[in-house]
Amino acid sequence: MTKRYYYLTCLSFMFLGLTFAVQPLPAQAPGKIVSGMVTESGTGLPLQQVFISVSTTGASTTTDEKGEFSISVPDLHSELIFDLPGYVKRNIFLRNREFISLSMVPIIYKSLDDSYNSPLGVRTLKDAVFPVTGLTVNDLKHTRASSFDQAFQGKVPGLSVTEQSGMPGQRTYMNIRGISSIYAASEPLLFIDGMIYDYSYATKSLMEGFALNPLDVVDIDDISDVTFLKDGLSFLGAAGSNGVIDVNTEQESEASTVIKLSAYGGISLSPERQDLLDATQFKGYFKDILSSQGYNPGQINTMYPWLDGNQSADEFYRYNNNTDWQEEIYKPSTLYKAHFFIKGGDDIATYNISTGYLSHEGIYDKSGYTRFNLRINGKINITDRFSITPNAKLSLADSKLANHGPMERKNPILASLMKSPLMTSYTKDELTGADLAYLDDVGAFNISNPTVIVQNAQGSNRNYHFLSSITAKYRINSNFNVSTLVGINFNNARENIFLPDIGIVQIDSAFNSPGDFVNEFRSMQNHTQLNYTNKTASGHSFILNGGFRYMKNSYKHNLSLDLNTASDDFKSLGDGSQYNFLRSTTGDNRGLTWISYFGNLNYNFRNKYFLLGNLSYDGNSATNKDNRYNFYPSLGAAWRLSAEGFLNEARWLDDFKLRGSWSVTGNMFSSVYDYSKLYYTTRRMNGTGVLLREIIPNNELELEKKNTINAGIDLSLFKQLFNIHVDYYNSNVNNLVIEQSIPETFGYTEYFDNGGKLQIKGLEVAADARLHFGNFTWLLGGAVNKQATEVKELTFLNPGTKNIVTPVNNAQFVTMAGKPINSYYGYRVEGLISSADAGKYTGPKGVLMQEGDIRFKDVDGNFVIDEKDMEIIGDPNPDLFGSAFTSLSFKNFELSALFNYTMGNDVYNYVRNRTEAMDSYANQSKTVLNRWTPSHKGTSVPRASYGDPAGNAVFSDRWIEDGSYMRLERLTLSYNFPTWQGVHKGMVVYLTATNLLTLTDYSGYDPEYVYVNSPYYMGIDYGKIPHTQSFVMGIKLNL
Amino acid sequence: MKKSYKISPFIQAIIVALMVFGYGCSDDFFNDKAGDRITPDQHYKTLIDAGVSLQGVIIPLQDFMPNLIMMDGLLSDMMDVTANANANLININNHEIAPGNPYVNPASLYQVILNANEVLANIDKIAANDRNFDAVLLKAYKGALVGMRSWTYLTLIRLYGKAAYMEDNLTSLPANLSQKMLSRETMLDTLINQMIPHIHDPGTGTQMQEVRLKYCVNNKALLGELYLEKNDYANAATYLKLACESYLNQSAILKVDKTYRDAGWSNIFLNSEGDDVENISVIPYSTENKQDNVLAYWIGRNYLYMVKPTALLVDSFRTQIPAAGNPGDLWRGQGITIKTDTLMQVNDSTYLTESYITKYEIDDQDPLSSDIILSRAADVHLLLAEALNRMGDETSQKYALMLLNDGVNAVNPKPAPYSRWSANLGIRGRVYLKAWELSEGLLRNPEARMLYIEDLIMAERALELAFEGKRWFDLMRVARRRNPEYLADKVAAKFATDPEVYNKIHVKLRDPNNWILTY
Repeated sequence: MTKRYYYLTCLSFMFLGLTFAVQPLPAQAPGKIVSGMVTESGTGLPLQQVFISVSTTGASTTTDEKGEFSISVPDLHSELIFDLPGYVKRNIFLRNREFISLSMVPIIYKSLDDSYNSPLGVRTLKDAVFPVTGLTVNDLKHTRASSFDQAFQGKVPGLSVTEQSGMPGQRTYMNIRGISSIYAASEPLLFIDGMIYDYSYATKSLMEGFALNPLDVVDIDDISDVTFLKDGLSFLGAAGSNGVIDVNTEQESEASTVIKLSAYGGISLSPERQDLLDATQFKGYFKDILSSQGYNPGQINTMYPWLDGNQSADEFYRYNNNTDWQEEIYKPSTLYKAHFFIKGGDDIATYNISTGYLSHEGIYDKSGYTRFNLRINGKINITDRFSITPNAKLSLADSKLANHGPMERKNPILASLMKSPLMTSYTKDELTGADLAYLDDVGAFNISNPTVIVQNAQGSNRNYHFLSSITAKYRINSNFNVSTLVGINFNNARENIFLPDIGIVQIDSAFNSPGDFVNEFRSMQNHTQLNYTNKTASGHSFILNGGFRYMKNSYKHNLSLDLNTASDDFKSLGDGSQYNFLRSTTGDNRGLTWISYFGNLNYNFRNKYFLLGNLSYDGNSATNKDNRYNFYPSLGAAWRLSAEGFLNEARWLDDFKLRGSWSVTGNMFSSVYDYSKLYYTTRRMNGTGVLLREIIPNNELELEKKNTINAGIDLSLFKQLFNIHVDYYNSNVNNLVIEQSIPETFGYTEYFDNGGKLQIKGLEVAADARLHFGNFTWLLGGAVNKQATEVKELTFLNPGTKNIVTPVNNAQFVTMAGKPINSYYGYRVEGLISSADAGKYTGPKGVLMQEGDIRFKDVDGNFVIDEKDMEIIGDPNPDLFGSAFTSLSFKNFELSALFNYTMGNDVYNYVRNRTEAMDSYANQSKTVLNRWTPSHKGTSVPRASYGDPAGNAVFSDRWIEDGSYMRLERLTLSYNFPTWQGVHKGMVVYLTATNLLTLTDYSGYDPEYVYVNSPYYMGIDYGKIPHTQSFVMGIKLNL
Repeated sequence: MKKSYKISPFIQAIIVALMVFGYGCSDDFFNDKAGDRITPDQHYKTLIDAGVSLQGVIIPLQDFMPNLIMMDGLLSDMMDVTANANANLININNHEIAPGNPYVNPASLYQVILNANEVLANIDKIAANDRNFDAVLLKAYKGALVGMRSWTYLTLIRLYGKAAYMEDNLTSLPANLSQKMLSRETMLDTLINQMIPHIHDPGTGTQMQEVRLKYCVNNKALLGELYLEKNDYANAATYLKLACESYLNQSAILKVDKTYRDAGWSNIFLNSEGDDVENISVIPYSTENKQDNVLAYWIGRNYLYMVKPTALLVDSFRTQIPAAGNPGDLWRGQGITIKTDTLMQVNDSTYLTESYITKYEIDDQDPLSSDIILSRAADVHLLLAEALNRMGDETSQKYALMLLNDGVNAVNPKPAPYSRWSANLGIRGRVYLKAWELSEGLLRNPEARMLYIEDLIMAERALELAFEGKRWFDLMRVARRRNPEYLADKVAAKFATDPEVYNKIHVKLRDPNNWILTY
């Protein structure tokens, strides 16, 4: 307790001390006259009517038609402000120059003078000490993205955005600068209009492979700007270690009324097909697999009389077709959206209202996503010092989902790839072979009917989201202002699923099953801060912030499953079996309270030397009392070399700044910390709930803390036509939480402690250029991110433990010192067993390997292939990722393209595992035509054998592929209609093609996917809906 | 026109102060509970908390008891593996246990100890908080916790030869994971010393009403068993007898009476939770509440059927002589504890048969809900008989045979120490088996007589308590006092058909060090 107050006192003294130490100096008498010229960046044309003022004296002037001006300043260290509507405002220190040649950037282009919103307030990009990137409306336009986060892809250095799949409405996985934790959140923290939003709860669903999109509360067309803060977030303490994305919806007040309408419509195409066996080839494979079970041709003929085309055989028509199941389930789909926006008001109150409706169909039947959004912002000036800003957002989203987990009985994509082409969707008339009106059941090959999954399996998600806040601001005097925000965030998602009986493979005695799921998130917040700004005439500038943040989150979910309703027409919970034990109900209810006191000091001297300090002290309910309160400092400095005398005359150099910083942040978003104090759980004994321990608590468990050192260069050349930003960072988590296994004599063998060390090193380079040739403007740019995560050290309590092996569905990961976190861990394939080696090796399933089986690498040389022969066989994390964009505009036309790429990430192709395993009656890919048979030996594809006794299909590098890709994410052609007085104030028509081209060696549908937002599932392709190629045409109208 | 407010410096100061110190954040402020986990502070308030915690102590045995019964059966001469058995079970059967064998993992037992310590460390808080939790109940709960903990330690040292002894409540991991390992001998003394203060002794003046808590072991019986394990027969007999009697009037409470006579014997297993004349301590299972008895699943003919009764046991049931009628243990054998089906006739005199364990499917409607009994009256009576026999004097041995055969009920006049035991039918008498008698020769040879009676008791225990997790411990206990050869003979007999395996197992088991399991 005393320690806490000690820190608090320090903090407040620091804050108060600094605020009163610096008092404005009295203005000096006028001294010098300076002159100069203002031109447009790019074209070099002179700009007239530029308003120029001196920051200290308030003296002002405007440029003439040649763009020239002269103004009287107190001394040659004064600061001049250049302002012209349609151009980015600039602040320039004279730095002893008597003549200023200045270029201004049109507002539609990026400029180093752009400002950005941060949780602490508005700042200028060029003065940033910590790495930051800002996006504006221009960066988010003309996209078919259903969620704003999708549009961030490729726009921000250091940020990787992966769309989970091509299912409409699906969320993304975002990450800034690598995964720095095994158990805690790895996605950045979101700020929406000043409110913190921890959306890490949105991972659970009844639908495998789906996670509700927590970000659909904000429509992309409502966003005015987004800021990405990648480091230096110590002012957020235990919430700051994954970076921040600060999203602001249109807030600025305008006196005149503005109405904007926008809409688009288009289609998505179904994906390119995978190459599978056709009916004849399948029959050959089927006979082969039957004979591997020991059946002779006579027996096969008795069992499957229709197999040899005997028309009089029973069920001949049912089993003599040639169906392309991919063709059966996929279809082109439609996309459309409409958005209406109005703002206006007067100097007492302004309003800002928008509403939108979006509908994206999925690429197969009965899947899709529709959403309604409503947003109301306003600002009420109660006095000239006191204002109130209410803010409300509401969204209702409806998803019709498809399962895309690892089980082919439910996943239509896997089923369509594995279902035998011999069968058809609809039941056949036994006599004529005509289609009957009802869907066929599972049939002989024990694979679900994909059409049934698509049409009759139900999956709906209804997501209700309400986000609202009110901010009060009071300006105490010209230096001080105070603001406070109170907000609530409420997200309730309901899911209903139903898996029918007919057409779906049964598991045990369960034939059909309804399920219901409710996921609820609530957050209550208050942020209060006092701001102090001061600029002295001698060029010292101070911004100080201090205050506190309070957040109380509650995460809750309830899940119920029922089994065996009377028929497929009864789809609700409660219609199921009368036996209680066939029903299951689970749930979770967690809370998180956080309070943080922070102080922030921003100092610069004549925009030349910058110093930034952050300090926060916070407590949270995740950890136990002893480790609850933590102290998070950060310090950064920057030096603008271009402002130094020796570079004063370098006209080609607009900006050259060096940055260096160090920061400490924490990561409290993890339920593992509960094990530091909460360790009683409940079990049932008969019908009674009883209480017992769940674990041995670790009361020394600390929050993971990340220390980051960052060094950066910002360079802007040739009147801001060429810009480059380079950042190098080195982050260390020295108290990584790992799971220990402790001796059985402690009863509970699972134990979490801070036993790991992790390092992430990375380099980000982003560059852009703008070229003007006559009427042509050509923009181009790109980003390269190199990132390497390494587990530096793992300290195990049990001396026998060397690494952490984590099996997930059909795959296995290892975390090993000196290696990347969560590497694939399995066998290596060295070819096929030759006749000489037959019977020599015992395979992974304990059976002697025969000729034609896979020869796995026998690392320990004992002829037994077991876990001792496992090695790291791949790394799902990319070595390099980034983007490239270009746009060419001519008069009112603009053509732009965005490319994304990743390199060096390995992918586990589970889909290929299922379609090349040759262990069941499932259809297979064409690769298996090359399988080993006694008469076809020179191949690398093993023999077919039912049930795979040899273990040929176990997790090995046979299924690991290079997931590198380069994708033309977006190609847009737009035309900007000139204003038509009395009709509209602006109109844009555009055509956007998404996902036009992907270059990859990956053999699956699509190299971009995330199964669920867990570091363990990053690279596993369980057969997700691929990203679709789509074309939309849209219009934007300003009235 | 905008209004203009002036805000006094005083208010401004308050705003600043509010900002800096904001919420007065006490620790309560951070008391966020996870819905499915709590802290100890939130618990231990009422009598109900005591109840759920006590049951929480025992619940890990739901996981462990099936393993114990498999180990007991396979290590001893009760069970054999079938073709369905997995490698781990085959290894146990062959006494070739490799580390990592999941059946041998003792973690669940240590969970019982950890939880018992945890509740013991906190239970006084309940007494301070809830008036209904009076001194009598507090004493009863403490006794029950110490009893369950001692039972667990006893099981640990029997299986693994030693156990990690934890003195206090383990709220955090000790440095370097250091633990005190106690040997079998030291642990027995420690446990006896711990148990004595928790015995409600009729000899002391400060008697208290005895509260029997459901699911928990009987402390007197356990103390008797601890003494028996130490070969302290007089003390063992004293406490085992006390266990059967109510402290007030010495009338029997654990009776072996007519409640479960003849056909009623199988009701012991149907009525395991509702009974208090036979069953002392029961680990319940219930499919309805999603607590399947995995043991029934492992052994059931209709399920995995990984183990079967040994031919020796099947024969033993078949050859019992009843008081009247054809040979066979009618009320405990065929169809109750075990079942033998004739599958097909190989030739005129040979039939192919298949035996399986049916003790855990006596309720054939819901076999996976079968409970596992930790201890019951017949067990205590036979232990008492064993102790009495070993005391060596003729009278005690007469009592031992009495308890084994037709019980106090058949003896007239009733011997003084058992004058209030008139309901007792004896273990064999209860199921109408013929009483064993001593030959003239044995009556004259005390040493041979003692061994003979002990053999009878052991044979009876095998039948009465088959697949209840007792046999391996019985064999070790007797072999320790007699000769390791005793155990080796009994277990190796299972492999009699294969002399090579027989010899291998026999040689191995002649060394008591090989009785100890490693995990």
